[in-house]
Amino acid sequence: MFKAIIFKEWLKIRWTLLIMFLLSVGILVNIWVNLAYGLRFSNPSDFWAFIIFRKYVFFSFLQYFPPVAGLGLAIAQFFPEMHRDRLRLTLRLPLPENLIIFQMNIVAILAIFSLFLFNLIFLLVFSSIYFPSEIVKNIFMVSLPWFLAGIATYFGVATILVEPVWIRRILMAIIFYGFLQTFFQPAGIYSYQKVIIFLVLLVFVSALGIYYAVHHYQKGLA
Amino acid sequence: MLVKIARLSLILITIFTLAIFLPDFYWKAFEQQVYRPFAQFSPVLKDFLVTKASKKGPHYYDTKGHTYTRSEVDSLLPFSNARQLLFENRFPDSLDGKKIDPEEVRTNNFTLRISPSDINQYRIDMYPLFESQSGRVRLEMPTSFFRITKRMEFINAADNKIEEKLSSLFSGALQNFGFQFPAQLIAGNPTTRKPFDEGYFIVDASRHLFHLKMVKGEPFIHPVPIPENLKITHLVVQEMNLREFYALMITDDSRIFLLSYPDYQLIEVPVIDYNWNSTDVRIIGDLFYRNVMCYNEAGLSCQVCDRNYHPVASYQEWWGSRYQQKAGIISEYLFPFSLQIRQETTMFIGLFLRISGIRSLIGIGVAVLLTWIFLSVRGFSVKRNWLEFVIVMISGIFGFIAIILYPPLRDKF
Repeated sequence: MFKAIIFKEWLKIRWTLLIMFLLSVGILVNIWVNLAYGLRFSNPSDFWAFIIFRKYVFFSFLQYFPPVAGLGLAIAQFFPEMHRDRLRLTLRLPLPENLIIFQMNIVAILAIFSLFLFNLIFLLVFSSIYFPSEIVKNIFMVSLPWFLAGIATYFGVATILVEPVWIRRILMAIIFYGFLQTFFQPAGIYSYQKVIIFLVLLVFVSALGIYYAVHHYQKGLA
Repeated sequence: MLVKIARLSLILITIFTLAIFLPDFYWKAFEQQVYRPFAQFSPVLKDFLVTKASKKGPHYYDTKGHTYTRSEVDSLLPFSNARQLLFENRFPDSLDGKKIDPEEVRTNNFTLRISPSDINQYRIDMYPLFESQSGRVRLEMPTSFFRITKRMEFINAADNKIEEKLSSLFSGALQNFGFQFPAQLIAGNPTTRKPFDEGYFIVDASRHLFHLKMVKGEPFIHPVPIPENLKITHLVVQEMNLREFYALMITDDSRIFLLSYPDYQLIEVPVIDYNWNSTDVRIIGDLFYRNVMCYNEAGLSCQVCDRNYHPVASYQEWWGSRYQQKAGIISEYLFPFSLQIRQETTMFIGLFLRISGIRSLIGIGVAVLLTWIFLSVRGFSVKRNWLEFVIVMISGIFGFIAIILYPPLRDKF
């Protein structure tokens, strides 16, 4: 059964995943080219000093990508399900409904995780051509909260999509927008070092909410 | 069961988010600006001259209650207003029977400011080592940056490769002076916009302090003896033409020392109410005095001393924290606690929880009542949903909003 769900979910998300993949490659290549250009056309020492002492984040544009990817995949997966109440059919499969949702989430999370891992490795590999390990480590620490936010976005948007009541959807979206701000304090200026574990915990907490929305959906509740 | 946990997770996220944003939004809407005073020591009055902004503009007064005009202040503080006085041809020839010269005044004026967030921040531990005697007037940015881990390594910024020759030269020299790798603290002033270069002050793995710079391509290293009981938390190096001290040193028990020229004598700076974790300290020096100003959240403490760092006068003023304002008192009724992920005193994101005092019980009481009404109106059993009350008793208004947004599960449909 899980195989069938994997296949079904794959059919739903594959194009979005491909678009997100290409988008991230585009963003990363753009960052890389800009970085190489900056280093070529300025004094490399000044460039390093700018990163080290002025906390310049040359890859700051990347922060917008993970939430967009999370949003895109959640929509690709759950929007078709909400159309004409198809989710009701999905949940009729001979499996506990929560397990079906869990397996759907697993498929999407594996996709998002591979995408983000690829992005992170790509970013760190080309950065380490130009920068010593101290700076590369900092690049990792600065970008990690963004990727965690991407995963949280997926769960949040999925929950909001499944939730049947419009007013609650809107209020959830507002709260969730505020919640995501936690992951996006000005890049480089503030350091997340001491709260990374806490952010991971928040992502896990955000993964649970969808079962409440599914319950509402099933019972058709206000 | 899973659905119940799911609901709790949504409630938790809602409370967490509201506890950050509602108080923040509240303060943005209602906080009154507190005008912080700025106290300078007048060498003419031998008293503090306090400048305080207000909606009508700044006003100036001394500790005896006299008020002054802007123009009077200029002449009462001839060192910090030297340029204005010169412009108006009012600069005094002498003060306290001592001849004063504008150029000398300029050289002796300095300000050092150290905020807690300068200390509480993540550092990428790589630094440029300037050539301190290049024979050029201006300092030049070197091509490489150093790290001090298992040894001292220079990495060329152009190709990201280790400069082996320079690295072994400096590592060997440090070793000869008994330096224990790795470095715990590296402090310098990594800018070319300074009159000259004094290199770096470095605390090694066994807490010994070393002065390191590059002189004509060669390492200059000087061990600086520090009493065993002093644990260095922070060092500030700021090259000044005055050449009175190499660096300012803050210890973990919040004492401030200067490392004086030329023989690295430690001079303790007298200071009132200083805590490096929460106080913004400014040291304002002039030809006659050193004024050490400590700004805390709720007050200002100044200690003025002479050029030998003997206390001369002190001044304190309190304006109270924002929780003593009307808006602050109301906020305590409204919010049982508030969360911040950022604080002024640190550049590290954290969870900074502030629990409101006894006043919050009233707000919580109202929230509990509203929860009871909400549950009754919506036909939920009050008895069976006791957990809702526990949530609201802990989180007040935040929990109440979360419960309205995510009502309890019904047993029957």
